[in-house]
Amino acid sequence: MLIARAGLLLLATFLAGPLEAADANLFIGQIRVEDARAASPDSQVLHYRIMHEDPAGLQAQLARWIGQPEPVEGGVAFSLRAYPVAATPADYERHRAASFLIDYTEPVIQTLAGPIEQRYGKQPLPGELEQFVHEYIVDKNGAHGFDVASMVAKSRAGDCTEHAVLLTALLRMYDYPARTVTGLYVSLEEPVLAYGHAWAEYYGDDGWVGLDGTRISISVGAQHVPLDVVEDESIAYALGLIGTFQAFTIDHVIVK
Amino acid sequence: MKKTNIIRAVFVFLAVCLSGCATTQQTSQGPDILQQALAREATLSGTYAVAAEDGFFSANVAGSARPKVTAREGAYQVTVPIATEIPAECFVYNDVMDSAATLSLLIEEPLSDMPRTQIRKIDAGTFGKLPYLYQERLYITEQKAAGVLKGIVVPFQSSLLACLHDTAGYSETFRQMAASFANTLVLRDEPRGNFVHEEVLLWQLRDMNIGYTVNRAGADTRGDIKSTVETAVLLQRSGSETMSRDEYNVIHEQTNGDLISGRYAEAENGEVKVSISLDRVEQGGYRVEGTFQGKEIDAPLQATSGVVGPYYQHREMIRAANPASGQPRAMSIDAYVPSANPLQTVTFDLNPTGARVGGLPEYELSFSGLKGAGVVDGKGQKSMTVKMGPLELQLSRAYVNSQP
Repeated sequence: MLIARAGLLLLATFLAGPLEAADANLFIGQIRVEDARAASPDSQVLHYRIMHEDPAGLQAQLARWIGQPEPVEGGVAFSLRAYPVAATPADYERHRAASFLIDYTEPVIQTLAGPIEQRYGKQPLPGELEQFVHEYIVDKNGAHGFDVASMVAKSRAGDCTEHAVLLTALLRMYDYPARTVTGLYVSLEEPVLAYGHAWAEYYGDDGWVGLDGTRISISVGAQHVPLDVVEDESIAYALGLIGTFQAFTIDHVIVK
Repeated sequence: MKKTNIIRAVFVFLAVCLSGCATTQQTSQGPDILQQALAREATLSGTYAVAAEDGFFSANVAGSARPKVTAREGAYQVTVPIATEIPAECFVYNDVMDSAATLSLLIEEPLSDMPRTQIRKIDAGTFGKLPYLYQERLYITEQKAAGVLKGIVVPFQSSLLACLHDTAGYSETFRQMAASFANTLVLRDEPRGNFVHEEVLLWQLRDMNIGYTVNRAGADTRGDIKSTVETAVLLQRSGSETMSRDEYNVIHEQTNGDLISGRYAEAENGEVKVSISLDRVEQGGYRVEGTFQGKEIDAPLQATSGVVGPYYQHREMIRAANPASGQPRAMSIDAYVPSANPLQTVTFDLNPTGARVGGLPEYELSFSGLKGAGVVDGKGQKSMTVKMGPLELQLSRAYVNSQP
């Protein structure tokens, strides 16, 4: 009987995540922040220290975006001036393809081309698609798990993960190589707060660029710390999310 | 899937009540007044027989005065005085309902117009062998008055009992009333269960009981084993948001464990996410049909070995744990878990860790990178814990009745 329950165990684990319930409804969950200082709007650099159950694993994850994350006792330290650009280029075929999770060939998503092109023209810019998703998802709530893009297009509801998968789908629909990323978002007002978050990346002339359909900040920058890419977009994507959410086994974050 | 179309009249009734409830506390009176109100309890002086006129249900309910029964569309409303200004309102539904989604709706819908609400408590437990799910929510009215709405649901095989109380405090009084109602509820259409195994497991996250699973197994009319698995979980996603998950599976397996067929349904916030039929086909193997995440599925099941049913898994786990001899062994099983992958079985490995908990061997359960530590006794899974960083998700058995 236990094994029969494993499906729910899996879901409860990644739906609840290893995080505390967030005090804002757009995020996957909240992370403990210690010794943080509110930053002035013109801050140039954010210094992070992420204390993690598996520091070596976290360092390997971060290394996909951040050249030299420094190992420290119980965690990893690094500094960001802007959103970090991942080193690995896009796999054009894969990152433009429709999948079970990023299912832009479904009619409910294809019909979104009408209002998008009416507003932005035949080839909307990535930032315009980000704006569209932000406005299109009208019911912004955290009561969803991890819906596929077509379900989001239908419900027009969800938190960061729903914004991220729909934005990834629309980017691919307009031929931009794109993927869904999970990581941290740090809000720098007093009190400083850190959240589990999800957003999209598209591959442009200068490499991978972050786009956040929740528009939680003016642009995706140093406050967004990518930790993982949703690689498994198949019908078994829930299983693939186990690894993604294990990256959130963060004890606490220090931001300066 | 069970029904989640809650009767609108229930909401209307509650909304009317909430718009001017006399028991709300003015927030300007300070937090002490509210804290005092939250600590209040009452004594239930009597037990009263209640019944539907058409014989659908009867019960003996603890209260402070005689309850009133009103037939409504889809449910019987039972108004139970519990020595508070506002009585408790219970509903005995004419049909089975999704427990977690129903509780969410009953609590959240009447409060949807309140400027602010805050989850005070989510709880799950058992009244004897019956599981329950509970939520308590603080709300602030536009007049800056604070109130508390409490709700509890108890599932039956032919109905759902739901009770609500819109008054700060009296939590234990309300729970006692609901327990008496549930424990004495006799339903005309309730099937007579003849189970060889029946258990209630509770889910706990962050020291909060968030839901339950009821596993039942017994002989079906053809002499095979029929198992039902019912799960209801309320996850707190923010200070005021919950996500409900309901799952209901019916699986038939041969007495040797070979799976014959299964019906699997899961809903998130009352919306069906998984509705799958798994059937053995004549040529061998299984066929999967239904919908998953809103998409139609009709495909063969990819299985690396024979697919076994949940009762076989239960028995095999006890055999492997071998609590009588204290010599546990490892085991590996391919099981069908549609929410993980509707088209392929998932392999589960159980390995003894060598440690003993309460004299019983501890096991590590692992699948697809997820790991948990559990304990199995002679009646099945007793507990399991999955640790992820600072958090623990626990599953613990609250009730079991198992034939050898």
